[in-house]
Amino acid sequence: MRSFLGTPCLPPCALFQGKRRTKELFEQRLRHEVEAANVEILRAGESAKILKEYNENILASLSSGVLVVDLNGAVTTFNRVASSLFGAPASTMIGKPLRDNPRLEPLERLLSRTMETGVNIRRNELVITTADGREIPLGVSTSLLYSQTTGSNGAIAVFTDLSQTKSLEERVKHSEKLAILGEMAAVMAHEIRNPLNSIAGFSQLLQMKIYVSDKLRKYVDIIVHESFRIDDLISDILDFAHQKKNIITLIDFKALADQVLSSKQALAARKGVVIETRIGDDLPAFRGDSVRLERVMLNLVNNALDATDSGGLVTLSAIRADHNGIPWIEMTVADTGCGIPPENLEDIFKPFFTTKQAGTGLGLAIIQKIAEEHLGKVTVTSDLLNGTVFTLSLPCARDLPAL
Amino acid sequence: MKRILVADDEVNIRLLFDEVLTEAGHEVISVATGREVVRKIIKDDYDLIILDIKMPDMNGLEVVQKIRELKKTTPIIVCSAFKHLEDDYVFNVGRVSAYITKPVNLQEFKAKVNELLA
Repeated sequence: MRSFLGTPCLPPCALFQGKRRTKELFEQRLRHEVEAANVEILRAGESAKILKEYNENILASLSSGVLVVDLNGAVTTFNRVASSLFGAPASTMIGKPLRDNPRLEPLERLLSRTMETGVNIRRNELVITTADGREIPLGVSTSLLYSQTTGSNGAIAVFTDLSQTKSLEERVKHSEKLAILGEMAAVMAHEIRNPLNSIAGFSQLLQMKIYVSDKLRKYVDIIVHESFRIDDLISDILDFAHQKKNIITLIDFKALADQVLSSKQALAARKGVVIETRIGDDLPAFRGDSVRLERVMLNLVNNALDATDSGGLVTLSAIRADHNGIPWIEMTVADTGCGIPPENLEDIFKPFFTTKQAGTGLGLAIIQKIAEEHLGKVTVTSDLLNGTVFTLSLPCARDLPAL
Repeated sequence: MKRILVADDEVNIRLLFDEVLTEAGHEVISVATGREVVRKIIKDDYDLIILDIKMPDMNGLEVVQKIRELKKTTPIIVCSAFKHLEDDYVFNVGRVSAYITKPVNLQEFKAKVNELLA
């Protein structure tokens, strides 16, 4: 039919029916949308839950402790490791001021400092007392908790139990000490053998030349015998001190110098001293004990760093030198430091000679012994203006053909 | 009469070797440094050289080399408190005739000397 305007339209009852239909359709549509929205919300909820679980898993699985505080110093995160270290379940910590727990005071101080100054603390070592009363070393780093939208939200502390690392450090220091003691024993043994040589020698001469009576002869025999017995004892001491035999391998001087450099780099930087290495390309093949040679170089570089002030230079070099048809390697450690007074130059290699407060006085004696064991020698030149040069001369003589 | 050159930086050891060798009928010339050894070798010939390898100015190997350079065949007895360098000196470096350790056993020393002077 047509409306009064002449446009085609539905009859009134049909219109009414149509309106109802539209309403139904609309309601249906709305229901669909609501259901879809519900599904979305559920899914979002699920994702959020999964994400939350995921984050919690991460925090719980870390081998480091994590502690987060908000701007008011209340704890917002306290992970599993933190709980076990401090013997406090997270539930007793979350929401409470960190300051309330005295055992965590060292951490609280670091976190406050971070929040006050706005500066992250990269690595700090503290000692804390655990729940069962043990004192353990803790390595701690802190950072500001910062968000783009809300700015500073608090601070995070991440910390690790250093006990194992520390005990490893102790063990390494201990075995180094043992090694040095071993070298000391060897140097002392060598020193003792010299006067022993006189005693044994002259008492043997007495044995050969003098006969007064059987009884006196017997006395001399005893002196001779006991002198050689001392020598055997010295050999025993050396064995007991576990002086390992030299392990002879081909020496890579460049690698040796690099190793020494990297060990001493941090110390040099702290002192403001530059260490350089200059290793020649034409070094002949040399076989020796690399552990002992490295110890020599480390010792010499240490001494050089001790003697040199900020702005100075320490140079570690190795060059080839030929003497009488045999190639030698000369390793030098040169410094621009305070030099050695000429009156001391003769004595510095003597055992127990030291001008330092905390020196054993055996370093140079040991170095000399190691040089000699390699058929080489150590020499020094020094003046109070320009510094000191120690030279370790090593002959490449082990593989020479016999005459 | 054989001429023997003794080199050791310790006066007591020089005295000891001097006594033993003079008593055995030899002429003994003693010096205290590597450089003096070289000086003596340049000037004269010796039938035997007794050399301490740990002298302050030149190390043992250098002295041995120098001697061999100037007098190729003179027997050398090297004397040391280090017991384990024997192989190096006798076999590897290959230039010395004998290696004795300190404290010196005089009987063994005398036997060695006789062997090398024969």
